Amino acid sequence: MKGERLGEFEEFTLLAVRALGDHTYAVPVQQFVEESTGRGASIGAIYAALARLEKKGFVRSGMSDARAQRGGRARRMFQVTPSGLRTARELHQVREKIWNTIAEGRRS
Amino acid sequence: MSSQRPPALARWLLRIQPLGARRAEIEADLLELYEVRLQNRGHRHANWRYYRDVLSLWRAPGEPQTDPSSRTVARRGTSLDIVRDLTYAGRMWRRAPGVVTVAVAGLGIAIGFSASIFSIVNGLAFKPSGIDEPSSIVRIYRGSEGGYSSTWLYSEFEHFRHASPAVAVEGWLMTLQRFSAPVDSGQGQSISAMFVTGGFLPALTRRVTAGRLLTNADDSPEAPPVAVVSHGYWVRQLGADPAAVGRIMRWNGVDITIVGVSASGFRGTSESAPDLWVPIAAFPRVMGASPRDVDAVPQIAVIGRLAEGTSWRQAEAQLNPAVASLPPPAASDRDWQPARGVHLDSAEGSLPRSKRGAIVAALALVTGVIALLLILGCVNVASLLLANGVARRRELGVRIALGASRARVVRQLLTESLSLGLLGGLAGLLITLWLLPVLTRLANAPASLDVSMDGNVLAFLVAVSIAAGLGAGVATARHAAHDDVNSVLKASGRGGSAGRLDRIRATVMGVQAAASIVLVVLAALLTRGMVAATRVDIGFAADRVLAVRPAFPPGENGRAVARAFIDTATERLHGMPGVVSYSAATSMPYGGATRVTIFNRPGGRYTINYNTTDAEYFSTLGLRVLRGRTYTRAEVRDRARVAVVSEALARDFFPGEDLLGQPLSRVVEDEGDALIIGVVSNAITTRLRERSEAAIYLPVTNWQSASLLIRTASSPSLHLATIRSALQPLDSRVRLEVTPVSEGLASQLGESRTLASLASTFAAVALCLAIVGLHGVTAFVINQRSQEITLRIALGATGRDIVRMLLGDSLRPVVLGLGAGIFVALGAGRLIAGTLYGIGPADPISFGASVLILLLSTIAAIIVPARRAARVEPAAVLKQV
Repeated sequence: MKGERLGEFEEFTLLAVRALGDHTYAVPVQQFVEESTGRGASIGAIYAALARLEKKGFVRSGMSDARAQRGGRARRMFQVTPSGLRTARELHQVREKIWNTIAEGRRS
Repeated sequence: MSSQRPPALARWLLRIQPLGARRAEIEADLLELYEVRLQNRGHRHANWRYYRDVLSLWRAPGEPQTDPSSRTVARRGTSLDIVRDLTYAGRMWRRAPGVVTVAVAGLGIAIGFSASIFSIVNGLAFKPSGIDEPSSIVRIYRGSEGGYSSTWLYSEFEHFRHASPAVAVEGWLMTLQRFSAPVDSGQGQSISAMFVTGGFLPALTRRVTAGRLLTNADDSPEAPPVAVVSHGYWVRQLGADPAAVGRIMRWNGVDITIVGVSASGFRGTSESAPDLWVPIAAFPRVMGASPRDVDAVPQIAVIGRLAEGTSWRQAEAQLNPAVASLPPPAASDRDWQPARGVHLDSAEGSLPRSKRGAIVAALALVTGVIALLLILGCVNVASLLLANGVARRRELGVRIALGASRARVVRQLLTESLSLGLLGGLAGLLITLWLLPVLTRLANAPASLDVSMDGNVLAFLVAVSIAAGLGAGVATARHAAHDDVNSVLKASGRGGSAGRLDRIRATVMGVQAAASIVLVVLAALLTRGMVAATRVDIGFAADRVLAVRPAFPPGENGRAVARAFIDTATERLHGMPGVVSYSAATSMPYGGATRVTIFNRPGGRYTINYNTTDAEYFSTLGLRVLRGRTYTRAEVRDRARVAVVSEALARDFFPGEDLLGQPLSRVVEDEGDALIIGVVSNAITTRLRERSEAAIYLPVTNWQSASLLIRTASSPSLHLATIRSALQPLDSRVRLEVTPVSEGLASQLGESRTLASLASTFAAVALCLAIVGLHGVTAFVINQRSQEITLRIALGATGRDIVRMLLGDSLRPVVLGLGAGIFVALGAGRLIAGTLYGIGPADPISFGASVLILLLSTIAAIIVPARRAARVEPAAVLKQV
């Protein structure tokens, strides 16, 4: 368990949901993660990551209306919560800080 | 696009997953992903990823967060039952280790052998060429006065390749170049290289294993020479080393850097991938000749990738004017008629249509053999389980009496056999891993043939294991389902269901016999065919001919070297002891041939072997002159436009006509003004299997590609060393390869020998499985009837009577099975008729011998337990009653 922290894959998934403009569902998230990381990501891993994120309160989900193109089946739509966004930003800042230190170290 | 659905097995795997309330949503997601991948990357990729996704749901089932009620109590009950069934099965098998060992071994052998055959077929037929969107790749043929040819002059190709924006035109030089090169400072290896345009590889695929593909930038004279190696070469010779990219090969003194490794399974436009793809721009540097030099350079074959939305017709319409306005071939290319237009054809159809039927037949046969082996394995295990099941009838009866439903008992039995099947599959996997390299070596498969285990093979293994497990359990389960509980509980010996049991037993034996006879007959046919093949009349005596293949330096310089070498070599050979005659020619028997295929002939494609020779070639090879004459030395020297044809060609093109003095252009339009002056006897000098005897012989002009054919007075191996030591010192720049022609012939025969030895192996396995199975069933039956047998003995029957009775009972179903099997074998024999030399598919000797072998084996399998039963001491058994 990673508690309230984000694992790497969870972070990718969370950012993907955000990057896709929220109100997105598992299929685009899977493709986004795969394309941007260049690694294969199975749909099962995405489901699991989304489920964990939801449990931690970083995303929330709801069912969409049924659509004709999916044989009338609904989608589970995901949205990043403010707490999810905050956590991702904090993580980014921590990384940036470390990289800055590295860059300065090189200069000296 | 949505007309294609995900693989049925994967859909089934998805259906059996406990997804609860999220099922609809997840299924829709998966289908959507599938369709996107189908569109972007093709169905193979989409299928593979679909499997992965479905399996990933098992691994990370994505606990339904919002709907805890999804896992119903009933489902939990079922899965607990399955666990209980499996535990119970495990306990059962621990109690009967003998049964398990034999069953797993039998199934393992059957599954392992079938999976190995499947892998080879998979490598041959199901693995696609690795071309992305092959439907938009076209082969571009050169149209001239009389027909279409697959090759162009390089200068023409350069001229028209950029004529159409609708099609990206790329090409490759027709002849594979072979050379021996050390990689870095390692050992020299024989390498086959294909010269291609820079855009050739990118036009066919976007995928690489490592590094990059060739680009147009690589195909310029200023660019440093680079190469892409094939995946097969990389694995075999470079140890799949990721650092291979950047390594350097030396070829004719030119350093070539490896820049990439092709994707696994990519073989481009050929039947198998070359080791190396090199840009044509490197040709002058490596070969020392310009690609425009017609004598030095083989012609170029051309393909195109159609731009999206372009039809063949549009592309043809755009290319045609450019080709029609080509300048006529230069005077030096006088063999070439001016190009008039193009003809586009599917690049996928490079397999001649005539061959497709044979391949379908071969596939059907292989499928049949696989099915038969599996049936044998299943039937074996079924008979074991049946024996075991009958022994457990009391136990099962008690279960039913205590309230277990019949369905529950049947499921228990099926779980047991399924677990056996999966264990068998595991054994099969191990056997495949061991067997596959052996089979590939036996089959002498080309190194580029990728027979590695892939998703297809694994899916096959899993599916077959499940099917075999279930198939083996069906008989027992059916038996249990219909058993009468009361009689089971009351009786201790043969129950009320003995009649049905006998029927099942008889069926099992019959099926076994039928499956084995088919396999044994096929093996016998192939073996006999192989023996007959050694007697095929090839039209000349191959046992006293030697081929000397010199490798001349490339370029203008090489031409002079070649001419001088051939002249001095023939002088040296003249009057040499043991040398009867000799002649130069560009093609040596079984040493690769130049062939021309005529497309627009009624009756389909027609292939003609081409050879350019010196005057004495005919007498050296031992071909008889049937009509007219052959060309003289003077005619060869003057490059006279005369031709000699083979009897087969004369028969096919000039039936009942006097062909002497006819122009050769009546056969091949490109041949211009050459006149036919003679007919010689047929000879099979290319591939034994094809037996193509149509040949055209012309005076040799290109000495640079000439070899020497030498007829010796006695066995050529005696003269090999003498001839080599006489010729090698003539010119240090020329490397010589001296081989007896019979070696090439032997390797040709090797193919059918391999086929026969493969078939014999399978037949032997089948026979073993059948004997073990029959033995098992008979032993079981005798065990069941021990009381009856004892009674008979007690009442005065002799041991011989008992053996005769048991033999008769067991042989009846076997004979019926043999009868049915023979009919199947007759059909199967017709399928392989094309590979049989000299004997018919209904060869009575093969059939007779097979039936005899099987009958004798059956009798042996039955008689051992029968005699044991007959020796029984009546008192001992009667005491038990």
